[in-house]
Amino acid sequence: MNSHARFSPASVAVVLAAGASLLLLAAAQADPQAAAETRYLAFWSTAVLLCAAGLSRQPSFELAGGALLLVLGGWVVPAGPVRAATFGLLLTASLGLAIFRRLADHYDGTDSGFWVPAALGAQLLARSDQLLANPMEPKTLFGLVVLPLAAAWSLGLVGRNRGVGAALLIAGVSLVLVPGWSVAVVLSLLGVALRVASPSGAARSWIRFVALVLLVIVAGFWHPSLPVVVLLTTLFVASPQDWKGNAAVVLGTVLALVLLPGVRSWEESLLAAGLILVLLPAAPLVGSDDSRRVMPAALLVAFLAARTVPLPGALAAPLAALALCIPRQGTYVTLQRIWTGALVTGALLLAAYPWLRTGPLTDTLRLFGVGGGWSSVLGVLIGFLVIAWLAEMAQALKRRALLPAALALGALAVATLLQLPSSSAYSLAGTPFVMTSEQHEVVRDLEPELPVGSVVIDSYLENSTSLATGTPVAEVTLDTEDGNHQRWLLRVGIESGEWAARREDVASLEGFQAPPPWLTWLPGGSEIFAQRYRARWNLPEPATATRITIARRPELPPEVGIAIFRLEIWQ
Amino acid sequence: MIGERAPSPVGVLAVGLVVSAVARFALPLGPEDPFRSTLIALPLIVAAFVALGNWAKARGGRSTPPRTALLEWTSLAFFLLLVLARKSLGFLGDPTVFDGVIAAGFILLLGHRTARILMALRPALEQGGQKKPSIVFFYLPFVVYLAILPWSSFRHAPDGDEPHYLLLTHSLAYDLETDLANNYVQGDSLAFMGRNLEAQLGDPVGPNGEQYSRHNVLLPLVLAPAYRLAGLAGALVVMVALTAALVWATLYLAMAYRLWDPVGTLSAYAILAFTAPLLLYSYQVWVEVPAALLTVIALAHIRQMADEEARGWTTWARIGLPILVLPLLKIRFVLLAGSLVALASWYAGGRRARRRTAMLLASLGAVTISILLFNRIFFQNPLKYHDIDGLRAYVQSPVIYLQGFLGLFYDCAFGLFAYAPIWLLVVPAALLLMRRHTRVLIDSLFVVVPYLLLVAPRGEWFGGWSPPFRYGIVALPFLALWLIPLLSDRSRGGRRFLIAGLAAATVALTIVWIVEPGWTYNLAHGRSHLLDFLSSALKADTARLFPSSTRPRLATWIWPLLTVPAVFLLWWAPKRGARTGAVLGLCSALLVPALIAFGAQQRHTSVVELEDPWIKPTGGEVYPELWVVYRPRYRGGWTLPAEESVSIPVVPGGGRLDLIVELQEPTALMGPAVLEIRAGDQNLTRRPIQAEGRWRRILVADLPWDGDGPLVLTIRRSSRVAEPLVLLDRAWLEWREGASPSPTTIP
Repeated sequence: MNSHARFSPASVAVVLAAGASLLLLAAAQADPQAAAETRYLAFWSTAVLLCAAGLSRQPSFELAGGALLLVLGGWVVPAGPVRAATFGLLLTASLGLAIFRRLADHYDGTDSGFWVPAALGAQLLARSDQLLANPMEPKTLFGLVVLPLAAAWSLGLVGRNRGVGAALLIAGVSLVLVPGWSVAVVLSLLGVALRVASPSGAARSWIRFVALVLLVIVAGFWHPSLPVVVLLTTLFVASPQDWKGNAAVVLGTVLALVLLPGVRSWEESLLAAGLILVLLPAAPLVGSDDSRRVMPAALLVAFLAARTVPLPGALAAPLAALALCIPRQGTYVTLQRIWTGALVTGALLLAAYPWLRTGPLTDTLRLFGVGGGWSSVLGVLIGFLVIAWLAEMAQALKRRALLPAALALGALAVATLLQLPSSSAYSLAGTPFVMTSEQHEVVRDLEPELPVGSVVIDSYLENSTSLATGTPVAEVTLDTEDGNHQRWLLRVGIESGEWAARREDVASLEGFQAPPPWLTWLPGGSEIFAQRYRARWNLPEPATATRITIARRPELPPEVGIAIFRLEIWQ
Repeated sequence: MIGERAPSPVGVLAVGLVVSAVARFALPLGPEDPFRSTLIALPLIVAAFVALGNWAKARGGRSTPPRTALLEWTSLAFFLLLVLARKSLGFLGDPTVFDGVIAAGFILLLGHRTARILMALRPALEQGGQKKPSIVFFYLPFVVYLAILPWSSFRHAPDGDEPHYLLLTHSLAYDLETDLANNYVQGDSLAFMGRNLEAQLGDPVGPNGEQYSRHNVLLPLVLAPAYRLAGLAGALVVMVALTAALVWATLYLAMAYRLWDPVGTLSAYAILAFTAPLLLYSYQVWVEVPAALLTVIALAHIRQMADEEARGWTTWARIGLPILVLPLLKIRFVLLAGSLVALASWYAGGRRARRRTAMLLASLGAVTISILLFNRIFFQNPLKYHDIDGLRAYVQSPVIYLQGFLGLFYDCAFGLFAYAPIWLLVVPAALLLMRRHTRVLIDSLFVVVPYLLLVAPRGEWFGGWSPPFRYGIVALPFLALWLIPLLSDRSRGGRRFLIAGLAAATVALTIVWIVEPGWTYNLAHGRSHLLDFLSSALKADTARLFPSSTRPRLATWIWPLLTVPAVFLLWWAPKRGARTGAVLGLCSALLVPALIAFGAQQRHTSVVELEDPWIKPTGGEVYPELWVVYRPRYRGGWTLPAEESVSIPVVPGGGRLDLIVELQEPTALMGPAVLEIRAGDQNLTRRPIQAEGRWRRILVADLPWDGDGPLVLTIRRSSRVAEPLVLLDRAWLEWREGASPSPTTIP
């Protein structure tokens, strides 16, 4: 047990000093947009660093270093996405290091003083956009405080009963689904935690039973199919199964599939269920009794969850059950931890400002070359097998404790390297230009002999809410050397979208749709995140291009503007 | 592990070299990419650190925990991937901003690894009985300087005296002579920088039109072989080695003085080697670094002579050689050489030793006279390009001496403390030495003070266009020595406060100086790039809060008066509360920028330098032009033509204002003008400006001020034919309370 106090006044003082420094910068900055962003970053940093302070022992160099670097970045790096991305990275690193050091202190998973700040910190990263709202609003408090507390309680319960490794694994795979602690995720975790908590006495069993019932009722309010998923999971998660138990799960799943309305096609649901193999590839490979018992049931229930519940967090229950069957030690376990850690880091970074990605897990998986489809699932499983085999071969020659981890990280690095796009040949828009009814065309002559494989445009629309999704707003024409013209359309809600898509009066419009954002920023004086979008068009085969033209459609209402931030030609 | 043999350092380095060679061909980064050279050098740097770590571990050093090492490797891989992917992230604006952030990431990793190696090297300092420090204390800074060299030299091309030394090096390497006329014509400077170098004003010209450099030939001679082999990179690697040798030699000097406390020595070593200014000079070509090295070597041998009473010819040769070489580097180093000879004589004792000292002094005299004669014969000027009148300028008032001396340490653009605040600890260190290690203090001062007395009163005390503390570099090893006994006991609250606060600020600033090496070169206008950046962001004058000896102001005198007693008090007074002290120090460092902003924006505007960047002109240009020689001679200002304005964001101090504007009138040819004064869009008054070309102060008393908008000064023509050009220097604003009446028409 570590003797140094955590959440000490010293740590809090350092964090508050950093926050105050940034707030004062915001008050002093002349540019209102920069000031708005700085203010937001100040609150965000203070909140996350306080969570790190709750995890860190004194003296904590990672906390001091994190605070110093955040203040340095805030003052010296110009306002904009680079600074915001730097903050996201520093905060993720600070929290991650604090968790890492706490675990290295031989933490045994029984102390809620670990789970509460860890869960809160993770939520502040995953849902950083909610900090922009009034923090005293019930919705914000619920999302940023109540849900993480509930998740922390569940994970603490799992940690006490099944070990900190299992609890961390469950936390990791649950975090990346939405991301963060959503209602569906928390309810699923609560259900699993209540089920695996060791009963000690009849009273405790009754309490657990009542809590489970309440949970099911609440889940039913959230989504009618969710309680079924949670209940079925609790059937197989806790105890050894006989054929009756397995039959009950199968029967229950089949009945639910028949009776409950489907929200995805069968194929999509199957693929979504396959996600649990991508997130927990160690489970089918580890070959233990537990995993053999739990795997089929978990896959079935995951399929049911994907088929009947539109919320991505519904997969948390079968995932948690599967995570519990992974043993505490071994090569596959190490690989699984590295894999989960990488996914959590990527997902949290991409979910945080300025990316605010709606599907950060998908984007993170794509970074490692896991694109979707069963080939990706197989690829992950085969990758695990190969790395585990290599690690065991190497360990047989010379035992090194961290060799599997090093190999796993190396493999991830190579996978990312292979996914990196080829270097951009051209960036044609240095500063944004806005296309209006007066300035309705942009023409750029390209360098001779410029080979083009794809065209990328970063843009947003202004005053476009009156346009239906799919309405073309601009035409992009690429002239090639052989006299051909490649044409693409920039469409509302598909290739581009309204910059104020997050504003309530815009988002609540019927039929309104915005594509996933590429980057967000804080306009001065605004209380929403503005968004811009990236569209990429690939040529059927590379060609030598001579000119690119972007023409605003003449039939557009005059108030609609198209802001082109960046125009890139890729080889 | 017991019995486990570490891989051979040669083998490790060989692997690094092979990977670097592969990277050179395989990296998908173009030659214009700022990270290309860094990534090519990276495998070798990593291999060098691995070898250093193994060396330290084999000698009892604490090895890095495996998980920490794994984290470091993961971070390295992450930053590498970020470099390769950065262009596809879609960040707008200046790409150098994101490049700088990534570079800062690499620097942090380098700093972490260096700190781990330093901790592992501590046992090497604890092993007694050594006569010299281990060579690993050369290798560590050598590797660190090599690591930052590619980035820094890419970001900031050779500047100041550097390109001239390099051109001379080029001429020696390829032409085997020192006539640069052909090199200028052929554009040979394009081999190491992006522009065609021209001769500096006052460079000696030979009788047959030869163009010589004002710089001595010794350093270029040393650089020439490496330059011939590997161009600029080769020359810079030699400078890196000289800088690392200086750091090692300082440890040697510390041993000679028996200043050997593991904690204090390691701390002082780290401060000397890995903070500004030495870190900044490591990748540049300046004579000050080899001069400091020679001085330290000579003094170390003098000390050894005194302690071991070894006074044979070998000892005298070891003392004499560096001393005699000093004036060959630069004639002004003869002052250092003379002080060293005097010190050697003092410690020598005995008739035979005094004879040898006299011979050394005579040799030094002969070398000096030879240099002067050589210059006289070949360049028609014994001082090459200075003149005797310039020497007479050293008969200056004590205030000028004080200003220059304080500027070396406190100046916001050139001072030691402004670039690495941790050096402020030399203040209590000096007092400690007075009590406990008087000999070290006296010897240090004896060697460097005569030299500093030469440079301090000069108009270019700051070293001209150079990184900070240029003339003070020779004193830096001695200042590091002073820190050793001071830092051996850091247990008190006040000490922890100072160390934590100053170290935090130093770490932050060091990252900035490495990422933006251009920010270490400042014009002599009383500001710095960093302060200009802050002023522009805050639209307020931050420079006035900091001392400057090129544009003296109140802060120039207040800072030393406040900081010296404060540092003394904090170091000695609070005896308890070490942990609290450290936390408070860190919190103070975090809040300092906010305090600066507060001070700049809250304190009412009283003095405005009209060329400052936070003031927005609509036209005109800075005066004098940016690259004028000997800038402090001029009154800095802003030349404003007719119908153009300067807009001054003002922090009001009352409802009424007396305004004085100091300006130079247009000449008679240009014609007279009118100075129009507005508060935002509200016209306040106008004043005529004569066309006599003289400096004047225009006083406008009792102007009303509503508190809105900037103060706008506009130059208007007073007649259609006039084309006035007015040089605006400074404005003073004196505020008074009292309501402002309704605006009236312009009188």
